[in-house]
Amino acid sequence: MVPTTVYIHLRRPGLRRVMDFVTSLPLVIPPVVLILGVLTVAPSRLKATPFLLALEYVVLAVPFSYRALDAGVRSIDVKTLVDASRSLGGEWLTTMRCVLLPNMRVAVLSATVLTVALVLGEYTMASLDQYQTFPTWIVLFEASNSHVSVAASLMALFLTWLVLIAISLVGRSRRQAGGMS
Amino acid sequence: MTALFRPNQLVPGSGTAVQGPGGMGEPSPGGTSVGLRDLSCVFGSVRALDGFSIDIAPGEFLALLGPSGCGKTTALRILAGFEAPSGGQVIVDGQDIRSVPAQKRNMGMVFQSYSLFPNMTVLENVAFGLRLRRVSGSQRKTKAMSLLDMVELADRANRYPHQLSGGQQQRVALARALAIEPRVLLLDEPLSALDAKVRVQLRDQIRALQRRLAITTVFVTHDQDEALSMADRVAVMRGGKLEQVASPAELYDEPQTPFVAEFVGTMNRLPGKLVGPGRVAVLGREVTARGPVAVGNAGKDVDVLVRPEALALAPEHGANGIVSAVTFRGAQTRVDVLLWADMAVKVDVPSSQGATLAPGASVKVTLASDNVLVDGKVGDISLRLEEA
Repeated sequence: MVPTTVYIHLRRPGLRRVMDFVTSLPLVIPPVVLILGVLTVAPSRLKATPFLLALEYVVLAVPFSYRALDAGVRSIDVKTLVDASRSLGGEWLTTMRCVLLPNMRVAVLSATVLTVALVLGEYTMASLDQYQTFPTWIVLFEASNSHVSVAASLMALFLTWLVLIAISLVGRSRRQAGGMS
Repeated sequence: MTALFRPNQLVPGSGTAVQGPGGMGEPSPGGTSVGLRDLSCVFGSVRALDGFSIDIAPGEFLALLGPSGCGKTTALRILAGFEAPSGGQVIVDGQDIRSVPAQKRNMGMVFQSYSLFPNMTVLENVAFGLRLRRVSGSQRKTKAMSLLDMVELADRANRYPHQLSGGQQQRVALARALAIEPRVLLLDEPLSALDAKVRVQLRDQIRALQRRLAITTVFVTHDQDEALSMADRVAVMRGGKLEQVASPAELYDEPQTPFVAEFVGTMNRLPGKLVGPGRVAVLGREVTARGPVAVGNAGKDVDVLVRPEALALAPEHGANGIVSAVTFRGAQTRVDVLLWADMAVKVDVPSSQGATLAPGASVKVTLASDNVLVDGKVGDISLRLEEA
């Protein structure tokens, strides 16, 4: 997703609106529609496997991850930084690794946490794909032991909060060290 | 300060020269020659460069000067490898380098906007190019520190870019560009974002460094003061084409086209009339053209371009001009005169004389010099004229 976002900004800025629209589709289309469509065309050996679910989650997370990364790219002068790196001898991979990614660290972390939080709470797709994830496990376990189920839910909530606070601290230290927003 | 290195010198303390990253190597001894031949570049419906050609001698400091959109930055970016020309050649030391990617051209560049990597300290920024060239850590640090010393920022080595002022950031960017011992140094309006005082300081510093390192340098600017004060030669561009390339003095004194005459320095445009072969009448005097004049054009109206210092004025009641403004400029005073009640002209006079003039005073404006240029209402003729 990071190379795609950078590429759009650098080489195809005219495609930004198209990307905004395309990456909004998973928000507009209900997950139940997505998963039913995928299950209809997916090979049977992939069904009820984490691989198919992972692919579905990629689609589901695109709106959040793209927007977080897009904000990160907009906060730096990508074109000048890339040109500066290339003039000094930096290949694309080096430029991405040494220049762009460190300056997009907060955006990448935000995208990651949003994705994790989304996946941690996603029930519809996992349930219809018949693969047991944390949310489906909680629902199943609730019938036999509701206390454990609630405790697990609270733990997940606190964990997400802790991660968000950690990102906030990283972002603050980043601003102090590098002057980036 | 530590000892300076030249682009073709060894890395201090290393015993090895900095090699280009797998492409074009170290600079040629004595500097690198550059030739842009018949370059054209089209962006959609905009023709940014249209048959632009220029040769740059080894070690020369060339300024590309022109108004916004004239193609100067495009030419620089093509030379750097960031843009691909639609046509033409980019010759460096006799080789066409169009197919060489930017990262292998070994050209240092300083950008208009602050281009330091925000995640790296000043020292890491300067050493970045050396790191990519696999120079060892100690040599990297030694050389980066010597360059920072050269731009008088060694004491800021461990700071981050946001902790520096704009001028300091551009000095670090200059050190970073020089660290890779570039074949050509490219400066893309590096001073335009700085305040006036810092700009003048950095201008002098860049020029001094370029002279000491004898590195071929291309400097893009729209500021004629910068171009004229820094460059060995100035290339004036318009509409993607080269108007004139000459030394600053020649450009000012002997502009080849009306555009150059009016773009470089201040120029007055006065009405004149061709009175015979090679002769024109202006402000009641006749001057003779040095260049060829079509005989059949006698009697035609022309515009005559005259510098403010080529005009003289004297207080005279009921004469051809009325002083509209007087601006003190140190040794000289700029006097704005309304000529024939409808034409504004600027005249530079010694401040001792300017002090005696006040707005509203009646003055007589005359031609004091033979250094005038005719603009062509007579076809394509552009001529320099001299006093008869």
